[in-house]
Amino acid sequence: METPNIAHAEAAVEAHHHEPQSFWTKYVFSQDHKVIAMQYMITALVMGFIGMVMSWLFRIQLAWPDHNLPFLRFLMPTNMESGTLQTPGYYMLVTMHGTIMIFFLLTAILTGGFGNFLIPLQVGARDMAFPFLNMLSYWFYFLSCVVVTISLFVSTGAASGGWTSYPPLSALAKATPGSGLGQDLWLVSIALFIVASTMGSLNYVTTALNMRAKGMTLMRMPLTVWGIIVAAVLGLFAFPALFAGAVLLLLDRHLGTSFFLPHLVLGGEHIVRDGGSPLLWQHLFWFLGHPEVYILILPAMGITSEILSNGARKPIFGYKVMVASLVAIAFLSFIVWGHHMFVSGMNPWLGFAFVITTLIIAIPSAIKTFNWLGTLWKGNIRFTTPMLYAIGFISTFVTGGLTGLFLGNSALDIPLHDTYFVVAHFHVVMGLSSVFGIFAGIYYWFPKMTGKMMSERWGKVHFWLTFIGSYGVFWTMHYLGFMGMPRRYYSYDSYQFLPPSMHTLQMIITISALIVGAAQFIFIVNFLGSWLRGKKAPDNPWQANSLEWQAPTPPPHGNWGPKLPEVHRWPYDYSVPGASADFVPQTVPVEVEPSGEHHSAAVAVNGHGHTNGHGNGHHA
Amino acid sequence: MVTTLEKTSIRRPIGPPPHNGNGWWWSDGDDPQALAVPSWKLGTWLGLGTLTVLFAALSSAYVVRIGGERLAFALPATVWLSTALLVANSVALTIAQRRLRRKDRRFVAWLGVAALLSIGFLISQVATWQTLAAQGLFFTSNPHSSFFYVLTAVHAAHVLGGLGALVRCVYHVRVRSSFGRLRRALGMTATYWHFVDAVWLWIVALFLWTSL
Ligand code: HEM
Ligand SMILES: [Cu+2]
Repeated sequence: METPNIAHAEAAVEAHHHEPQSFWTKYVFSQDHKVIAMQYMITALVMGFIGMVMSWLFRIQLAWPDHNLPFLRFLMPTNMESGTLQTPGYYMLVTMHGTIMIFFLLTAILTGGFGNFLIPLQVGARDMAFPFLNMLSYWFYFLSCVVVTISLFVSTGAASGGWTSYPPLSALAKATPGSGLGQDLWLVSIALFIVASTMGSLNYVTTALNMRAKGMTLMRMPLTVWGIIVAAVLGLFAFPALFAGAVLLLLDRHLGTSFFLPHLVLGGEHIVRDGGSPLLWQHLFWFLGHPEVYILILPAMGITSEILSNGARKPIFGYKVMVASLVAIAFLSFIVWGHHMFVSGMNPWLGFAFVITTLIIAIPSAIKTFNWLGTLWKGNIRFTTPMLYAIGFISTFVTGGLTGLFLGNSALDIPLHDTYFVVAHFHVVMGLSSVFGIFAGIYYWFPKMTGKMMSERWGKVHFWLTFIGSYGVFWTMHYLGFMGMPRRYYSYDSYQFLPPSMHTLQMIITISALIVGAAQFIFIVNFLGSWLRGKKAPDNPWQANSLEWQAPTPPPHGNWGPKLPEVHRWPYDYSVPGASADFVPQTVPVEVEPSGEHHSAAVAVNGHGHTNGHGNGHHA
Repeated sequence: MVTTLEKTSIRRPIGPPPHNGNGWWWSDGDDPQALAVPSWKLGTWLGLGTLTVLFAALSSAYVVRIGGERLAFALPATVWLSTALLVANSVALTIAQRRLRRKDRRFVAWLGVAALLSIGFLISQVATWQTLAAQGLFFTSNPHSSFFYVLTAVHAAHVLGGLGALVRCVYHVRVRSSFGRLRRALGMTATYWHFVDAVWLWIVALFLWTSL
């Protein structure tokens, strides 16, 4: 077409000379996926910290309704003047806690943080397919964080209609203080977040499908990449529904339309609206909302699979089935949203259909669990911090999945809906599982990201406190649910049906939550301290196979130097019989051409016991 | 976007993109594993998938909200003018693409035609809204009019985006971008426009259906 090919060779040699040089293009408006990953990760962790502090405040209210803690005023200048958390403040805190944790922490860090760092490195690309879009994605996310943070400080307070923002509460400025400007900013920040997430997801999927290094077939991609891109596809096809809902809700709020608002009387005053349906919002919201919870779990599943195989020194059990079940879960997650609406007065037959689709999700979920256990089975397990967190993930995923089966039956959900049983269910299965996946991932890839090792000892202390403390919080909550304690109440003092023992449980929960919170400071110190003055990390500290460990530490701009890696095998060749080391990196050639399958590759290596090992000599 | 790439990252080889159209990061001898579709196409299609869900969500919200109630007003005649303009726009872009493929410089003129047609569409849309307003049908009058304004306004926003894409193509011509890059820019633009035009046909069909 235009110019001759010589330029290509030059580009390769020049690779190192064209790094962005100025501070601004290198660290701020960077288009390097690794820098963007760090930006996403740090911003998300800061947001998560804010969300955690919020939870302490409302947990104190729940355990000690008579508290008088004036020193907390510095955290809550309004709504805590007297030293006691006021009702509107309570609702703002629970709403913003949920919003921040689900969108601004978990979604952002799993796709924006891990997705950005891992996809190019694990498929053997130099960067994302669309680096500029990638940069825009971060800055839209950043803007959405700024807007949501500002909303905490407006005079009428932040949104307080729950993270689900059901109208009419969220549609009428006079409904609660938080339904004023706070709710508007909530909607705007979510819309910005959706734009950011869409730009990111386009990149993740395209990069993984189209920028793989030579030999990196789809069936040789690490499960992390699969988990993240399937989640990205979910985001692409689910988020627009919430975007549409947000637009309509803003119009209802400001232009007087009646999309979600029926005729209402509020405080004796007639609201001049007609015929709108609050349930319409619920459909739009949960069409996103359910896939959203899987956006948070699928990448964590991928991370867990990766680390379990590495820590057990065994190939992942049933790789293809793992991929298939990720895809199956993703597909099913689009047709189950009605299970959040069993008590909305839906036709029982429709409810029945949603029960069936919901319960079918248990099948691929159980398959995955079986395969994780199969991977651990008779493994030569190394109980490193990432491995502990990965095992913790299995535990919480099973616990929370089982309570899902209760809720998925509409007959059981009708009494359990909107009780603490639901709060327990989703915190264990979504909150804890994704957080454990994230911690596993941070401890595991920190050396590659920063070039330093994190302290294993403090990592383990962090794990055990977090693990036991979290169960203290959420296991206990199930009992409150059985008692019929409704969620989202400021005070539970005037309900005859709640026995006094409820208070004991509330205190156990809050104390556990404060212990877990304190444990996170161990993490923060470990993270920052190791980054600043940790032990220098070798290239491949976990003796892992996937490509990122074959790159220099930390990987330079362009990741691979002049020559891209070439892939010869899947990433789970651990303890291959006959190999000289118990791991065989993906870049090591298989000398005898295998007949296609990974397992036959292993056999071929076995048959020629001398072939292995040389490729990874420098790791020994 | 192009300029930023040049400025900040490893230089894109000045040559043509390799056969799969997305290999600018790759250098000699590297043979990336890719799908048969180039990245820019894949990205465009995924993005259009997202927009499809957006319009599907709004459309189904409409259908659910009216609950079988018939459309209470006649669609203004300018709706048909708008339809004709957008169909013509798709045709113009197809011709432009064909011209460019034959390296015929006059493809730029067809870009101009497409831009004029889409500006005409926007004017026709404003006329449509005015006709409705003159009949006393405003944003809040009834669910049909509310959704008519919302769907057409969200669609018009995408038409504006399409105009931006046309300007970007012209910019590529002006800075004498390579043939490959031009083709990519125009390919993306045309695909996007066909989508926007199809959405318009869908919206018209939806309101015709609810007036049955
Ligand atoms: C077999 C698996 C699962 C089943 C059958 C199931 C079922 C349900 C049902 C029926 C509800 C509605 C309860 C109610 O509001 O009355 C629910 C709530 C919820 N589930 Fe699950 N679930 C499963 C797994 C998961 C997973 C894997 C996640 C996240 C990763 C998750 C996250 C949530 C969340 C966030 C809510 C509550 C949302 C809210 O009301 O604020 N669930 N689940
Ligand atoms: Cu759900």
